Amino acid sequence: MERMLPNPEPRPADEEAQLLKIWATPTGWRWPTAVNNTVIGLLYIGAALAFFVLAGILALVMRTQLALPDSDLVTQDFYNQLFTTHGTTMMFLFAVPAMEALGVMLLPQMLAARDLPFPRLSAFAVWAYIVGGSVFFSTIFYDLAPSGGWFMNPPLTLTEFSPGDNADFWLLGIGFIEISAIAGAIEIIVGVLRTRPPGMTLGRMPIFAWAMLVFAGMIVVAFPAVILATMLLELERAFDWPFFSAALGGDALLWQHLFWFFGHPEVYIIFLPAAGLVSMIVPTIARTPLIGYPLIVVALVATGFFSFGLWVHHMFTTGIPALSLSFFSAASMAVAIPSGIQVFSWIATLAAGKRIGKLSVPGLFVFGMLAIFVMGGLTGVMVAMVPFDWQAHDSYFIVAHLHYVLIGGMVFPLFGTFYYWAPMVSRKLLSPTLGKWCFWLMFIGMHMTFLPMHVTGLAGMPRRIWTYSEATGWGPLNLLSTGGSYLIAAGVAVFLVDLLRNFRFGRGGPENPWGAGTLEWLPNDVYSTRSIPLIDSREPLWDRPELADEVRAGHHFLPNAPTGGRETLVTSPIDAVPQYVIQMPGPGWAHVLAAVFTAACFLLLTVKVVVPALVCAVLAIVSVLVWTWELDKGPDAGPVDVGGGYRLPVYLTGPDGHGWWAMVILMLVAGSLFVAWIFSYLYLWTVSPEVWPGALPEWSTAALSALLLASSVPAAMLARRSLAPRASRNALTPLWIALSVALLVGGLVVEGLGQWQHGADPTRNAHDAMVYMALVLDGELAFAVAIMGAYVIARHYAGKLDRVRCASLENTQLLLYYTAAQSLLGLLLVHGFPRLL
Amino acid sequence: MRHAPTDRPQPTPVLDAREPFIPLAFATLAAPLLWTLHFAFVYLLEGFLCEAPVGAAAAIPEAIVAATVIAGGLCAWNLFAGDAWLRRAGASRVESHLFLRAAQRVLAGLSLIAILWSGAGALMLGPCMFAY
Amino acid sequence: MTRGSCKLSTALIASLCALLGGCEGAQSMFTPMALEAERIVFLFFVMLGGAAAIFIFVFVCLWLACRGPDGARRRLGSETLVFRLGLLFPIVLLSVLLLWGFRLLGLASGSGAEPGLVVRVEGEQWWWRVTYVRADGSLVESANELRLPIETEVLLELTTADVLHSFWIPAWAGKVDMIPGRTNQLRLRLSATGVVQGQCAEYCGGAHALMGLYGEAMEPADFDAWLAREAGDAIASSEADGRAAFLASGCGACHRVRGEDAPGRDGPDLTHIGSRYSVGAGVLQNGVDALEQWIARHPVLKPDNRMPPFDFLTNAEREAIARYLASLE
Repeated sequence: MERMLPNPEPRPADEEAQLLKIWATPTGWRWPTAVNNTVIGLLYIGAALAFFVLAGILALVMRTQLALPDSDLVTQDFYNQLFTTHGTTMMFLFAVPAMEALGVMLLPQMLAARDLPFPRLSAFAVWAYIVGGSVFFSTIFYDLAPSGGWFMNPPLTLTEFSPGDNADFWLLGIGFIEISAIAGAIEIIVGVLRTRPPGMTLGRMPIFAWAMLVFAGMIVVAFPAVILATMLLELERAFDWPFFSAALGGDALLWQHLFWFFGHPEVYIIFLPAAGLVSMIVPTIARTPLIGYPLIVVALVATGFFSFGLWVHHMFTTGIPALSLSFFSAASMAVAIPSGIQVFSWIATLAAGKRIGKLSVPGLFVFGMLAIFVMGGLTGVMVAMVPFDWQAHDSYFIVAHLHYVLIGGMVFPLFGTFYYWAPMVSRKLLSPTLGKWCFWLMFIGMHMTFLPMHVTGLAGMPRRIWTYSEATGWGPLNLLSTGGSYLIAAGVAVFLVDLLRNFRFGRGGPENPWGAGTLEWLPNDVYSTRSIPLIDSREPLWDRPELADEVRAGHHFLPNAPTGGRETLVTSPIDAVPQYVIQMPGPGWAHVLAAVFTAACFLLLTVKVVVPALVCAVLAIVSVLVWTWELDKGPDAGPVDVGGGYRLPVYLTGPDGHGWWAMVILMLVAGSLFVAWIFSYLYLWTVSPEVWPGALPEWSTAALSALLLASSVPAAMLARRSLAPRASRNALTPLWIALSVALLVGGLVVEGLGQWQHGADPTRNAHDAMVYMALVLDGELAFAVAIMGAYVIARHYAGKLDRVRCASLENTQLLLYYTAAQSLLGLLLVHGFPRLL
Repeated sequence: MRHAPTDRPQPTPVLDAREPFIPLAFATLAAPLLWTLHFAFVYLLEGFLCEAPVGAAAAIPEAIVAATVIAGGLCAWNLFAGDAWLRRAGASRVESHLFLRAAQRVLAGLSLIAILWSGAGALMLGPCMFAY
Repeated sequence: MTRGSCKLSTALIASLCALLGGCEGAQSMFTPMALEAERIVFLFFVMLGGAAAIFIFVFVCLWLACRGPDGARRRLGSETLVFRLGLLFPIVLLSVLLLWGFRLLGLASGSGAEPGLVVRVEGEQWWWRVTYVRADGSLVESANELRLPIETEVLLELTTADVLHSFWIPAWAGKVDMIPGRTNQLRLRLSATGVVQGQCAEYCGGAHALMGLYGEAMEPADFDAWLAREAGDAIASSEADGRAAFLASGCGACHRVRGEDAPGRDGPDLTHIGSRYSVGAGVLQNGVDALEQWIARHPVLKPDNRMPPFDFLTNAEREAIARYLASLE
């Protein structure tokens, strides 16, 4: 039967030129304003790779120091800074950003979307990360780097034991980069669920998109825990709020719970996208669809859940009851099953496909990954056995295990990815010869470095020691490890040479050189694909070889730019039915400046230059407002014909709009942060019930606060109700908005004053600090709501707000509802719980 | 089917394309969510009752076994009859119905194992016992 | 044999020797001297064997999938295989392992027996304060080494004076963290006499690498005799010059020497330092030379340590103090 195309008629000749003009990347000095995902993605990947190389150099210095016993190549303090910066950089500045970078780079191509739904947000995240990350890393050159370990355990990191600014660089620098990671995660979730090509149902999504969806979901749940921990520690350092000081009712273990609630899922956050990439490369190598696609999807999702039951894994030696340990041991076992599914699914795919001849470089990296990762996984099961972990914990056995898991589970797939996807953005393929050298050097070096470390650890060598005596007998093993680390470095150097010689950004390289079946290998240009294809299988390029030509000829959806600007198709989250066309912003300075000023604000706070920091904060907020001013474009350009008989609106508010989705995910982030606070409050009570008060502020102030908070909700509803019809305005609207914000802020002020008058003092004990912490969390949200309220009022007077064009008001409303609900719950706990005791 | 590849897609009013995304997400992810609740319950129960000044620690194993039976039972229900959960959430309106069911079933099986494993410790280890 | 592979095998043999050498060290887990530690070694070797078997199995499957005969490839290339080998097989295997782990956990948890000896170990930046609680409730303080009787139920009460530390003597038991505001417990029943070493295993800042600890397991009768001696005041030393210099230089402000005018509690108790194995928490083997070295160069030997520099001492004074301390057996 003849297949009907969405746009069967020939397209006008000037259409492609218009697309090229609209999507053109700014050149020259305006280049930093670019938002195209391939440009931003490449910048992101380049920065992550640079941090990988830098942190790797630190590792080489450490290995050189440890090559021989009693060596004094570096000083004790510098060594402590080295391993802290190495771990922190690898985790926060390389691994997570590299994966988000691949998401930014590959997802729109795999989903045949013109760009991610919030292009400036990803550009903001990238610039913030580059500026913040560079400053953080450079502290190692001025002896200012933190030296508390990448996990920053208090009390060592409290002012008493770490008086310098070093620890603050970690707390503020990394806290800030976590925010950038969350921005990326929101982008990725909305992108994967809402900008798929028509017909790409959930069951037809590329595995990498599934992996990134789970990845982003895990960031939303996990990162807030460490953000809270970071805030608590910084507040204790700066203002003596005793969250972690045992003498005043705090507990050092609270940090470990919060940090590892993030830290263990983090490992899977890093591993899942890489596993997703392997699941994309293996079918191409085998020339057959992935066997067990639904099982792999389930494996990714299940890993996402189970990995949250592992955090005490890192605390097996802290003296926790045996029964509690058993739950975590069980979850550690449960999380091993999905890995088994994936490994055997790859094996089955290789068996079902065509026999492979000589392995390509990506193939080598995939096989190397399997060997390394399986070994790391098996030692992972070993350390999940609690009694064995009592010996292995914090010894070099763990150093070996974690590097097997991370290098095997992430670095090898990443290098495979570089070789596999480079042709998508480069005019030239990377060299297969150099690729093989790179692989073998890294593979042999990896085993030579880390295999002996298993023995070194069980022979008694603890982690994070800068020297050891000859009598220990660890010398030869360490020398072997050091030799191996130089081989790894040589492998990475070969890769860098390959990049310099062969990587040339631009179009015109070989189209689909590996003969893959997924959409990123469609012909593309700055506007991504010429038209957005209608999909009916998982490997559309294999099942419909003519698709590339159809897409190029503009016979699929949205072959043009009907609104005259950047736009892409939004589809429904499950079945990918076209719903509307979003109008997206193009290049601009505002988001770049916002990133720079935000980074400057955090870094100036670190060195306690308060006034310039506040100036930067104001400038950052102004930049954000300028950036967002152009976003809510209104419905005037639509509805438009996208092909296939669909006439779609170009503006949508309510639960189908992409802005609504992003705001709801942001609320989940805030909710996760708040749950971490509830846990911390109750946890400290179990540790130090003696500081929980007998007397509390009167019911009346709490009741007044609750009344004000609760009434902000109907006021915000009335603001929405009062909106005037299209292109007119109602003078009451700004009043309602102002009232709702005033009620919200007022409610929090009343509670704060009530606590203060009652005599609660955050520096007195852990209970009072926790009470004020709730106000800090509510207050920062209320601050955001207030700014957004002022912004919406400004839009009202600018004539950009009415009953239809109301996305900005809607988002403000949503955040206000959430803030009111969170504050009320906080009041209930703070005033209700102690009365139960 | 709305996207039969051999058929020119018909104009669909946009709001009819609205899917019951959240109910379907809950129905599909019910089993791992149950695991989450079960895990949080048993961990907090042991953690808090052993440390908190309220006593009642002796009842912990029984409570864990009861929670495991309930959560495991619901998981098993989801495993064998989860399709009804999906249909109630509106799965018959989406093309991905079968895919969601396949994913739901394996998730339910995995979660069931994980729940049983979490509960098994209570049969072998007493409450609030410290290692060594 | 090509030259390359010859070199490779030489390297392999060399590394194997290194491996065995490393395994026999005084701080190794592979020379267990207590039942708990023995169980862990056994568990490790069982898991190592299992892991090796699984690794080989996976790679045989992978080889068959890529290079095997058609029949094998056909059987491997199906979703049923993923289900059986990727899902059911791990479930069965991990269930067995998990239950075994629970059993070991149960065995290691609270035997409930009344301890025959209680010792408090407190971690400090960067040394160990060790306090023996005698049957009559009196306390005997020592530092940086732990002597215990074999075949006796010993309860170690682990605390910290400042940051996190972790108590780890691999030959005796796995590690247990020391956490501010908490007292963690470690029960030990040693089975063989001998001297072993341990080290702080939780990063504790600055000189974390140089926070060592000696352990000696003794016959109960020897232990009782030793503890009785340890409880006594410092012996009357014949090193009068050194004693005078020690007291005059202010050492007693931080270090206690029982029976002398040296009441300090900030640093390690030196009452019987002459009989200890090491100086500076495992930094140097004890002896007159080592003690002199320590007094002269401790900021270099153990950077950041809390002892102030004693640059004003003359060589003769330093030597005299060292001889005096060495005599305090």
